[in-house]
This record gives sequence, structure tokens and C-alpha cells, in this order.
Amino acid sequence: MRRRFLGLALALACGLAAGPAAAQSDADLAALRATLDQGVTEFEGPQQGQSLVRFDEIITRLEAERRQGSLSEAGTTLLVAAYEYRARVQFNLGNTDRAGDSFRNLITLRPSHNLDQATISPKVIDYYKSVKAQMVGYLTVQSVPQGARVSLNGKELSITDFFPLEVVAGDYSLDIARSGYRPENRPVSVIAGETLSLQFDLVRTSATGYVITEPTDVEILIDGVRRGSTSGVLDPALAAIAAARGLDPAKSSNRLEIPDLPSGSHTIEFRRPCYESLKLGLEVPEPQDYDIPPIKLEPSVGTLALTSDPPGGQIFIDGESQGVAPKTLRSVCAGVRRVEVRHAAGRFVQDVDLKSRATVELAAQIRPTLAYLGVVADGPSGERSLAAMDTRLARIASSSIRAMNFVKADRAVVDKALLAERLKLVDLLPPGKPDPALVRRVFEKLAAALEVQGFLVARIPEEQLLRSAAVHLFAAGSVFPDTASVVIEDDASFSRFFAAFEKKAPLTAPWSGLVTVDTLLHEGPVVLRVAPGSPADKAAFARGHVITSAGGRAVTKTEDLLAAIAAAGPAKKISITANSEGGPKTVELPLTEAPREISIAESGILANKICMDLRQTIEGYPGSDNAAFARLNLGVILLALRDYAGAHDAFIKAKNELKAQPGLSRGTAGFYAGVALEHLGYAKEAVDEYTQASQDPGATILSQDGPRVQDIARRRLAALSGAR
Amino acid sequence: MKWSRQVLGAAVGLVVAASPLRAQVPPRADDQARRLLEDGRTDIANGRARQGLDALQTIVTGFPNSPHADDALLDMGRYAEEVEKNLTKAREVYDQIAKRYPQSDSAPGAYLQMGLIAFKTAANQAAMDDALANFQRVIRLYPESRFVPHALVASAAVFRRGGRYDSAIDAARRAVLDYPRSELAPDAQFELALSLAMAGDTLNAIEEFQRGRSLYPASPSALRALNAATALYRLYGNERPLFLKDPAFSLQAGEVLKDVRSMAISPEGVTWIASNKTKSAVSFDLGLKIGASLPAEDPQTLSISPGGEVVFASKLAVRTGASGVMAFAVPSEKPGVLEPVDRIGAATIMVSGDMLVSDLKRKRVLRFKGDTFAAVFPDRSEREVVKLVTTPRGEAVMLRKDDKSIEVWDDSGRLVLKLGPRGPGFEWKKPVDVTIDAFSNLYVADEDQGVFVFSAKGELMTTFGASDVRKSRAIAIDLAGAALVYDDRTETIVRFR
Repeated sequence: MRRRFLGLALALACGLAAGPAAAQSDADLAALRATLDQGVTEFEGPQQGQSLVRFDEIITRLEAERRQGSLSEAGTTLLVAAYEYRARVQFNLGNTDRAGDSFRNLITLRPSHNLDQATISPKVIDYYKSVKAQMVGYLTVQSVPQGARVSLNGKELSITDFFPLEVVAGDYSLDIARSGYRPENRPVSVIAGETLSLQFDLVRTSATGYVITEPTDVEILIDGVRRGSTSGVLDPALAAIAAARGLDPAKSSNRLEIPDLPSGSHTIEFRRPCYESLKLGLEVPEPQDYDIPPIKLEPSVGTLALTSDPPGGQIFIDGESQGVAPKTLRSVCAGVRRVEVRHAAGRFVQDVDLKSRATVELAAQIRPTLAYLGVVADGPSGERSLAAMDTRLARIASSSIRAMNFVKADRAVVDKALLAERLKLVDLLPPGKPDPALVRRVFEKLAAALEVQGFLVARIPEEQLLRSAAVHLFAAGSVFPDTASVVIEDDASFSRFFAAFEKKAPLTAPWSGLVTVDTLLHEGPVVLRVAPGSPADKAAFARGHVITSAGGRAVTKTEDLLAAIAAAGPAKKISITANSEGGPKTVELPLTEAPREISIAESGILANKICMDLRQTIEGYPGSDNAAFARLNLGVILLALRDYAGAHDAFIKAKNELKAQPGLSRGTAGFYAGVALEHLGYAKEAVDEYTQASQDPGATILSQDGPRVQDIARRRLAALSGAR
Repeated sequence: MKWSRQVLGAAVGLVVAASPLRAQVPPRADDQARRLLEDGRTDIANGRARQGLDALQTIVTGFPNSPHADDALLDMGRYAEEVEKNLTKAREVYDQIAKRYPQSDSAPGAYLQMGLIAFKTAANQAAMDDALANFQRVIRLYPESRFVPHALVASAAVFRRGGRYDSAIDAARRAVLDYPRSELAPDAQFELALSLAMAGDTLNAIEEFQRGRSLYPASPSALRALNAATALYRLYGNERPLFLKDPAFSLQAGEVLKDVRSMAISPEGVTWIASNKTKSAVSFDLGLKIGASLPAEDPQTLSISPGGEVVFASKLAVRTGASGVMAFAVPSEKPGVLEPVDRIGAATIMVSGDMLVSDLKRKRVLRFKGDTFAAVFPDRSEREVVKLVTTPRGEAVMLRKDDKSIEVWDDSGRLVLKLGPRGPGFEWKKPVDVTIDAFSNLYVADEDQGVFVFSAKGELMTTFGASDVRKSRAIAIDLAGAALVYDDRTETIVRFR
């Protein structure tokens, strides 16, 4: 014990004196090996003496390591080799004293080392043996039971029972220890040339348990304390025992030894994820070995039936990919699982508590994800409020925003993207006027890197009385944000802005085909025209009919009629009464769903939020009519936001996706593409688009029964040709 | 409003190169200028115009390089224009902005205002082109400016006045589509509809008026759109225009309704009745409640100026609005001697601001700039003109008693249209009055035959009232296109809606 403690103190002292001991690096060893190889080459060459320098160099380096206690096993091997070669060179040079020193150092490092008799001169071998004989004795230890670890002066030697091992002669403190038995220590003396045989009868102090499990990798806890995990493959000799307990030997673990079990009553628990835990009582009457009966754990899994809207989302359970929705996942580990469905259109995240053998059906509604980029301040007074504003904004946003996922952006990713453009975040925000292309590029990159669809960021201006801040919402790829001015201390001002995030702008609306006008001449809206082929056309409505009621309510103006149609509901039939020359008539008008243009002037909508919703439809339902109309509307919104490049891109794609037909259609997209081109300065290309659009007889803008593209395009062409 | 960074940098660079002593405006000076601007605006808003203007002038002269100098000039220009009504001075100020601060946010505003000033009095193509050029500068040179939708709408108005309806429609449509959130969006929508109507695309015009009401129900143009749609529907919504007597209409006005010589309805919906019995022109509000009156000996005619003021011609003088009575004189045969115009038969104000006065004694229409005689109009031919009206396009409509015709002349004296006493589908015997509606349709009241309605091109659209009015004497059209006809026999006003 005293020696063991001294050894420890010495190691600590060396460590304190020399600084933290670092083992040789692979590179160091490789370099030394190369030096050794060089030395060996020189050794085998005509100028053998020159190799001494190499070997000395290696010995000097590695001895220093050894003295510091940081010589690795590989380093020891290298040092031994260096000593051997040095000794041989010295011997060959006739310097036997020095050779002897080298051999002695070698033997001290590795007493069991022998020279290669096949390649080395017998004289050298004999000399080596003579040196060794004066240094090395033999030690053999047996113990009952076997399998005890034997150490000399704290350095592990072998496991009992072992045959005589070569040990440098001297006095040692021998330790023998085995789990469950009282360790013993004995001073011993090894005499050169003699064999010391030792026998130990170890005294049992605690019990040891042995357990097999199916499956493997089961965590074992004794009285709540982890004692290890089963592993490996079952020893065939134990297969019958396992099978007798209902285990499948092929799936069972090897025996796990659980040492140091005190006598008495214990609880043993078996745990493995996706399996039902098992807790048993364990009685240990006396210190001996115990075979705990093999344990079979039952799977604890459930089924998750996942769909996503839009479909095609990548499913992740606790971060691991599980395929594409829709999918039924059987054998999902029971417990609280984080279910995530990722889609180009957004994300769905939910923690699901899955019970064993239960089935959970989950309809994942993909929502766009909004990344919070933080708050920037324009000056020192703003910076003082930065932290408070940041906390407040994040808190209110995360609790208020329901229509989108809200996440904090990874700062490192954001900084990297900005650094690449040599920008600060504030450079992208109003009231500055950054290059729109730059803003679009940066936000597109960030969106791709963070896998989000939009961003929220705030800016505190430098004010005398610091009260307000501007909160900006950017859709990915957007150029101009939606901005709200908030009062920093007023939660309600934040909430009002976020409430607008919930507003949706549908792509279609119930449609009758009636175009009416309010006049002071009629008691209700009078039909001005009826869209050909529309429900109203089929119901024989005509110009001059005066609508007096719709949906069971009196109608005095067009706004009333439109509201009644919009409110028609899923049944999509509406009762309309009109006065005509032939008298009043009432019709149950079956409405159709018609595409519409979303106007940026619609009350309460946020253009960037709508862009995110539209992109969700585009990404989620590619190739569908909805996606085509979503793209058309995206272009319309971007046009109104003066993002002409983005708008043009959307219109050209919409043009390719939409059919040529009456109403909002290909011609609509073509016309708007011309508008965008004009703004971008491509007059000739704009003329081409207008010319094409002017040949489309049925296309409209604004609504299914809106103004005709043909007329508008022709006038535009006339104006452009007049201007040129 | 800030200078663009680019220009500011350039300006600073130039200043440094030229004179090492002149530097960028230090932050404190910029602060001073900003405070002066705030003070100036506050003073003007609170009626302390002199102090306010002084403050603004101080910015211009003392802090010419500050980012607020252009704002100060813009405010000064607007004051000159809107309060002092000194358009020349206003134009000079705006010109300063355009020349000295071409990159500032105010520069497009200055061009816009210059264009609007030019347009206000533009009576000929050259003047309108001048206005248009300023608007086009805003659109082309400052495409990101918030004044672009204003410039588009103004361009549409210019085109419309010049009869270039397709261009007007196109410009208004651009404003509607490209700037749906602009404060000018309701006006752009209205202008679009109006231009369509003037182009003869009446059904689409009605639809666009309705669209304006649906999109911008709370805007002032919503009511105007309702009136316009009503008027258009009455004229074009059915197979034929339909004017039906309104049995519910009744104006109780006592003596005012005796010996009525003329009627007119202002853009605000105020009805003016000129009565020789009361020797005055009396107003009635939208609820037909009696209001102000303007006295005159021997009242002759009432018309509405392009600015919306009532022009009340009496035998000896013309009154414009609530004040502004003018008597006129023309050079006599003796050099340097003026003779009074003392038998005025009618008067109207042109878009240029000139007044046309019908001289029944000399049987000519005289043109005056202010009260100074300018020329006979349109030529030296004799004419007994008993009614003068100005169209939205700035044309003068004349009712001639001598040959019982209607003549329409543009500002340059070119005859645009001559109607009557007979034509395809009509013949009138004794035309007593003429007026126009918002779409330049002509309404000719014949003493015995009711009212004849003609399009701006002179095509007969319909006739009405022959059986309802025994002796027509005067006619006016209200905001919704309904016709009020004074029946001299029954001394009542009959409304046709």
C-alpha cells in the first residue's frame, strides 16, 4: 500500500513538475520510426558506427518521455529496439561496457525481451544472455480462485494462474486482486536466475452475479445504480440454460459479471430503450457467485401512422430519418417521441407520447417555419434595451404565432451567411435601401441553410425617448418586409402584428359569374353582365336583373351579394331572388370554386406571410392547378411589392403551368409577365408578352370575371408604341 | 427625406476637393435644420404663416446642404400654391428643388407639383405636353419614388383631357395594378373608370366604378363612383337611355322658382337657381335646404368653372364663387377708351382661367384675362350666345339664339362640333338652355319639345320630358346624371332620374 501510494505520488510529482504529460503523438512516433529505419539502414551498411547517432537520438527523446511517465507502449517498443541496435553497434565496435549498459536498460524496460537468434550474431546473443542472466529472475503466481490480477509495484503483470514470467531482480510490492475477494499485498524479492512461486487463497468478501439477457445491450441497475450493460454473443455452453428460460440463444447476450454485490436484499432492474423495463428483487445471502436467471425483455413499441399535408414530407423520429409520408411506422419505441416531418414547404413538429402496442394516427399539417434573427439597435440607447426587447419579442412571438413554426435561428449559421457577403444584419433592414438582389440572395441562402421559410427581425432606432421599435417579417427570397411599429413596453402592440400572421388568403372562392353594379336607380345591385358558362349564365340571369335577396337575406348593394356568396359554405348553393321584366324569380344557384387574385390591398393581410403560404402550396403540390394559381398569385404579390425580378420569375413559371382558358389563366400570367418586364426595363420582351396576351380572347385579370387581358394588353401595346 | 447616400458622398467629395474649409454638414447643424423644419411646419399649421415660412427659408439659405433643405422648399412651394394661390411663385420654388436637389426625395414631388400646376391651366396641347413631361420625369427618373402613382394618375388625367383615352386608360390601369396600396389607389381606380367612359367603353367603365366601390368603400371616390355608375347606367345600361320623371322630387322654394333664368349644380351637389324674381342666385344643399344667395340685377346664366366654382352671369357683371364680381369693358373705336360690356348674356371660365363673356349688344363672345379684354372668341362672326358652358376637356359650349344651334369650340378657337337646329333624328324649334354631364354628353332643353341628349360626338342618344314639361326654361344635371328641368309654365322643377 505504501509503495502503491508512493508510486502514485511520484507520478503526480512528475506530472506537476513537467506540466501535463502528453503521450507521443502518432506523428512523433512515425518520425522516430523513420529515424530508427535510417539507423537500421546505416547499421546494415558499411559505416555502421554512424547509426549510433540515430539510435542515441531516439533513446534521448524517448527516455525523456519515460522519465515523465508518458512513454506509451508503442514508444516503449521503439525504445527497446533503439537500445538493442545501439547495444549491437557498441558491441560490434568493441565497446562491450557500453553495450552492456544498453542491454541493461533494454532489459529493465522489457525483461522478457529476447534477441532474434536467426539474424543476430551468436556472440551478441550470448553476451545479451549473460547480461540478462544477471538481471532477471522468474515469478509465477497461482490463486484460488484463478483470474486474479497481479501487479508489481502498481504495474500490472498478469492474471493468475500464470507461468513463470521474467522479472527484473529486485524487491517489489506484489498486489493481487479479484472482484468479490479481498485484495492482498505481499513484499517479494526476485533473485536473478531464480524462480519465485507464490500461491494465494483469496478470501471472498462479496457476491458476484452473472446474468444473460435477451436482447443484448440491456442496462443493469442494482438498487438504482448502473452496473453495466450486457453485450456480446451467448457462449454456446449456456444456450440450453437460456432456451430453458424462453430466450432465443441467437439473440441473447453473453454473461455479464456484476461484481461486488453486498449480502442482503437488492433490486435489480433491466432497461433497454424500446423494451419494457423489468424490476426484480435480488437476494444475496452470502458472498459467492450467483447466476441470475436469464432475462427476456419484451419489446415496448407502438405504431405511428403518419400522413402529411402536403404529402411527401420526410419523417424524422427523434432526429432519425424514417422515410416519407404517408407512412405507417411499426415498432416505434414507446415513450415520448419527437415527431418531425420536414418538407420544402415547411415543417411539422410534435412530441407524441406513444404507448406500448398502441397505434397513433398523426396528420402532420406542414406549416412554414419562421426563424427569429434577433434584434439590432441603431445606437447606444437602443443597445441598452436590446436584451429586454429580444426576450420580449421571442416570448410573445412563440406564444402568439400559431400559423407557423417559430424557431430561434442558429446564430453561427446566420453570422456565416452575413460574413460571406460582408454584411451586418442591420444592412438588410429598412429604413436603409439595400440592393434588392442582395437582400433576396442573402435571405434565400439563409432559408436554405436554416431550412426555414421566413424570418422575423427587429430594429430599435436611436431615439431621444426610447419607446418604439420596428419589427420586420421577411419571406425567404423576399426583398421588402412587412413592418410593424411596436411600443417596446406594450405587449399588445406586438400581439396585434402577430395576429395578422394567422390570416389566410384563399386561392379560390365561391363564384357565381354575376357581375353587378350599384346604382341609385335600383333597389338592389343590378346585373351588368353574366360570365359565359358560369352558374349564373346557366341559370339564365341577364343584364338588368335586379338582385333583391341572396342566401335568404335582403341585398341592397353588391357588397351584400358578394358577402352572401362568400358565406355560402360547403354546400355551395345559394338562393338568389331577382326582379326582372318578367317578374321576380328565385333560383337555387349552384356555385363553383373559382380561382382568384389575392390583392395586397385586402384588409389585414401581410404580403410576406401570404408569400410563405403561396410557396407552401407551390412546394407542396407541384404540378397541381392550385400550385399554378398559387404561383400566379405569388407573382401578383411580388409585383405589388415591387420585386419585379421575383414576380417575373413566378409569372413565367405560372404561364407554363396554366392552361389557356377563360378567366385567370395562361394569358393572365403572360400579361403580368409583361408588366414585370417593363419595370425591369426589358421593353421589347414586354411587348412580346403583351402581344401574346392580346391574342388570348378569354383571359382576365383580378378575378375569374374581371377585365379582359386582351383589351388591357392592346392598350398597353398602343401606349408603348406611341412612346417609342 | 434624405439625400441618396451616393449623391451625398459625391457632393461631399466635390466640396472637399473645391474648398478644404467647407465640410459635410455636422450632426448638430443637421439637428438644427430638422428642428427648424418641425417648427416651421408647426407654425404654418397653427396659422403663424410668416414665422413658419421664415423658418423654412432659414433652412434653405442657412443649411442648403442639409437633408431637410429640399423638404423646406417643397413646403414653401405647396404653401405658395395652395394658400397664396401664387402658381408662378410655387413653380419657381419647385424648379429650385429640381435643379438644386435632383437626387433628393423631394425632387420627384417637385416635378409632380410643376406638372399639376401646368395641368391646372393647360388649355392647349403644348401646355398639356408640358404637364405630361413633368409627370413622365417622375415615372422614368424616379421609378422607386412614392410619387410615381400620383404621376400616373395625373398623366391619365392629362391624356383624358387631351382626348387620348387609350393612353389615359393605360396610365390609370398601371397605377391601379402596380400600386394597389398607394393612398392614390382609389383615385387611380376612379380615373380608370372615367377614362373608359370617355373612351366610350361604357359597360367596362361601369364595372370599374363598381370595382372601386368594392375595393375602397370608405374612400371619398366611392360615392363619386356610385353617382358616375348611376349616370352611365341610365345612359347605357338599357337598350336606350332612360330618363323617367321622378314623382318624389319636390323643391319648395317660393319666389325663387319664379322667372328662373338658369340652374347649375356644383361638384359638391349644391344646386344653384338664378331667379329674376328674387334678383339672385340661390343655393340649395344636397338635402334641398336653402343656403347662400348671390344678388344680381337681371340674372342671366349659371355655369360651373373647371375649378368647381359657380359662375353667375348677370347683365352687367359676372360673379365667380362667393366673391369676385367682375365688370368688363372692351376697347372702343376711340383709342384708349373702353366701353363697358353692359348686356352680358352668359359667361363661363375656361381651363386656362380666361373668362368667356357673351356680349349680346355686340353679338360677340369676348375673351378676358382677368378683367382685361384679350380677344373675340372664337372669331369675329356675330353670335347671340345665351348660354356658355365649359366641358371637362376645356372646350366651350355655346347656345346660339340667332341660329338656334349649339357650337363646341376648343380653346384655340377650332370648331369641334356644331349641332342643330336639325340633324339626324331630331329638330328643335326653340332651344333655351344647354348643359353637359360628367362625360361631356350634351343636354339641350327646347322650350316645347323637352330635352335632347347628345353624345360628345354629337350623336342623338335620346329625348325626354316633352310630355312632362310644358315650357322648358333651364336645365341642370346632378351628380348622378339626373336632369332637373325648370318648367316656366308651372314654375316648378321637374326631375328626371
